[in-house]
Amino acid sequence: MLKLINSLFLLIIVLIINSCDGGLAPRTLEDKSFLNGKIIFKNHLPTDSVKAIRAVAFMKQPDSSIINDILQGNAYFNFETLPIGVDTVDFSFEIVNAPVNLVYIAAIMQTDTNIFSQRVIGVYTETGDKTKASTLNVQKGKSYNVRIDVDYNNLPPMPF
Amino acid sequence: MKKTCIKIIIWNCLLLGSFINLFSAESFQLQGTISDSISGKPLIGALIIVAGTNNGAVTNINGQFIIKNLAPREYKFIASYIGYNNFAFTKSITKDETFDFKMIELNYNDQLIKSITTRDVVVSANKRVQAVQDVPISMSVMDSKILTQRGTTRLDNALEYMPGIEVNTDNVSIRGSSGFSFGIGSRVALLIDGFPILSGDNGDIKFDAVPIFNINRIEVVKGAGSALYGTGALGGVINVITTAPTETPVFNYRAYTGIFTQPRYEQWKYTDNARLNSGMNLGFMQKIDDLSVNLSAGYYNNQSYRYYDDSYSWNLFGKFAYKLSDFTELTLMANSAAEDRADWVYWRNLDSATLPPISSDISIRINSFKHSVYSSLRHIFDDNNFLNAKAGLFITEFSNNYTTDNPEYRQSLATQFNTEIQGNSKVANNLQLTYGVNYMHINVDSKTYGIQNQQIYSFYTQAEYDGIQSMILTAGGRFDLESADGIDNNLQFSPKIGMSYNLLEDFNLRASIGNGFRVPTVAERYASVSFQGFKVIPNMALLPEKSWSFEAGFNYEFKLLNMPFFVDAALFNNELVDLIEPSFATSGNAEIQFKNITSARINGIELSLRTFLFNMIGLESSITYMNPKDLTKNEDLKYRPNYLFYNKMILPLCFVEFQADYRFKNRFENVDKELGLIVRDIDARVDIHILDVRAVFDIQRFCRSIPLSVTLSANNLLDYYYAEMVGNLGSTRYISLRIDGKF
Repeated sequence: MLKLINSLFLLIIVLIINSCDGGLAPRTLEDKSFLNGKIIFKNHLPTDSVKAIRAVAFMKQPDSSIINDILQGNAYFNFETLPIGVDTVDFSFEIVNAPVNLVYIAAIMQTDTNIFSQRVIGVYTETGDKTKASTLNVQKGKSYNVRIDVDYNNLPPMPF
Repeated sequence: MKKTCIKIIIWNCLLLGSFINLFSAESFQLQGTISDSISGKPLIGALIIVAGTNNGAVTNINGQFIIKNLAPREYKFIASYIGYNNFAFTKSITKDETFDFKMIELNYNDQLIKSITTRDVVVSANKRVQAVQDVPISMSVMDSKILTQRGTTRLDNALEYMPGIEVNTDNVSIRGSSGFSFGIGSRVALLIDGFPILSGDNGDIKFDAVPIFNINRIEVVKGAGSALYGTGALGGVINVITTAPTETPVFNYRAYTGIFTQPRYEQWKYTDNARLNSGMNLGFMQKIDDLSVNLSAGYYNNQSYRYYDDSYSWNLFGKFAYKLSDFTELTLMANSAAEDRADWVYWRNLDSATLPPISSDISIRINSFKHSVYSSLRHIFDDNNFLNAKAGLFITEFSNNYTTDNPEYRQSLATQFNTEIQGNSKVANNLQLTYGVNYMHINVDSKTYGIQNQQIYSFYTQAEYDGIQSMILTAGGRFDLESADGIDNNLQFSPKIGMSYNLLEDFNLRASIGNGFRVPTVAERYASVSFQGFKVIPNMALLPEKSWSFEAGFNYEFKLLNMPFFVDAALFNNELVDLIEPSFATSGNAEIQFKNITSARINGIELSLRTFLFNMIGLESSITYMNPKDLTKNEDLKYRPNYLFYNKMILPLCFVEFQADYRFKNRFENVDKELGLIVRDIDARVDIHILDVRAVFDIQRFCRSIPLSVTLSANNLLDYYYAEMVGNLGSTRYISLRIDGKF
């Protein structure tokens, strides 16, 4: 029994020492990477037909539904909607776990109260071809600026 | 509703009266005095009980007691008094008898040893007074002394340190029974003096509605307990026993104040001002002839370690007991609590863990009220038979301060009426019966849930047989019939069997198997609310959750190198079916419904140890290992850890007692991924290590005329940062000073 008590004390001490690492901690600024961007809109839709506008950056090409891919942890995004009905809007979100390749950066529109009703309305591209998204390699501790053009009269195809 | 209450109370009284006439028989009494063995002074408020029965007495201001209604036979009597060694004697009662005796005061270390070796007396396992070693199921008990020394201000703070129990924000989980649902649909029944107080709408535990200043002890029954307690007791039962008044008038007071220290990280510092957590309680109790009075009031202000997480609350408590006769007592208890708090839900992100999301409207407050009124009429026919008729109301109301036309406006008023008639009879020499009927009516008037009614009619019975040497066998069951607006009636039968066996003098085996269930709450069945792109829709087809609990265990008390040890071990297996979880209504649709979607199995082992090493250091330790599996998805159950490890150490030195609590919970792996749509950094979770230390200065130990203790505490001394639940930073270091006294 005394061996058991000794083991118990040892276990408690080991665990308490283990707690000296402090647990959770905020990320330091040097470790943070950010994706900043500007979305430019043309040929606006009526505002009551747009429920939300969001920017989203996928680590893998989305292959099922926008929201399902987000739920799988495949994307960075802001849940809160960006302003609707404006000509330009800025967005920014942190890219944790950099370095990472962002293979599909897009502006998406929620068309009704159903959060699964999402439509891609613009993609980030370096080629000038607004139907094909470009990949952005994000390094640790760095910030990136991108531009996404949205023409409601000429929307890009859905990625799946 | 009022008419219904009055009718039922009158009916209870009539029924009780008819039983009283039925059971009248020849009986005798034992009277005497209890005094101190050295000074000869009478001991006021000493308890003397007839072993194995509910009969007993408390000494009056002259140290005198009278136990009435004893049938002619031999009895074992046990006297107990705080700070004194228990005194037990056997006496044959064939006529009215007198017996005077003296009790020996213990020194301080002996008192600590006594607290380790004395088996607890419990009432919750079988709805009657029993020694804990005689019950066939695992139980944990926490008494008022520990609650006071820990500086416990809410029930959840106390439960976090009981073996096998964890608190996930508002959810209490016994051996993994519950995950996380903001408290909705508690799988643990909560009672105050046997009166159920889960809210009528959400079925959640209102922690601030428990009069923490008036708790005598907390009893926790682990595993399904629906055979006696009905719905809600799927994972276990928590019964809060309030204090009994003393013969002499006593004024109690408590005042505490403390600060949350600034976090280590600049990103988490949101103010230069000290964040305080303070409160005070006042209480009075006295027994005047046949009337016992117990009153208290409390006020609390917690500014919190997080922004927009502050709260103000108060509570009033009154308990009156009147002896109508030597055998009949009427008790009335009333409790009111109110809280005004900020609407903190989750953090902005890990880097701003002490701030709410940017979109939060910090002008919004949540106001809530909880009122309970409870009456009990108890009659002891003789030491083998008693009847208890109970009736009570529990009313909860909450609302936020949005305008009523705002989609975010939430409000609900729930009234729960509960009445029960319970009897205990020794129908044969070795056979004890517990039986009763129970009726519960819930009425909800809510913007979120509509106007709803729910009724549950119940009947239960349980037999305990001790005709086999050293063994007590238990078997029983309960029928519950639920009816509610818009649904078919649900009939549930919850059986249970159990066995306790005294193998050696201090070695007891136990085993039990029992059924538990929980009917869907009004919130789960009728909720209709939209928020942030999601829509919660009603589900009238919800079925009750069910569980089967099996456990086998033992407890053993022994001495080694002249040191006392108490060991308890249990193997358990819980099978849960039709668990109600929030989920998407159909694939590709954002409508959320509560559904019966999960079957689960949780098995594991729990070990507890208590000792007093070298007559110097008190040690209490428990470890629970669980393997919680979602059988539907073949993965770990969400929000369940595998290990819970609790420890308490006591080092008494002169008039100071140094104490340390350490608890560990490993990181749970599985959470709702959908939360990641709203809550940032849901994977920011770590193992939990919490070390609390305190020094208790007991002034009365060196100056008997000053009944005062001063406690200096540091909770989370190492300032370890953790998320008890996703998106919620746990409490940071809190240093406090508290005084407890009476006059």
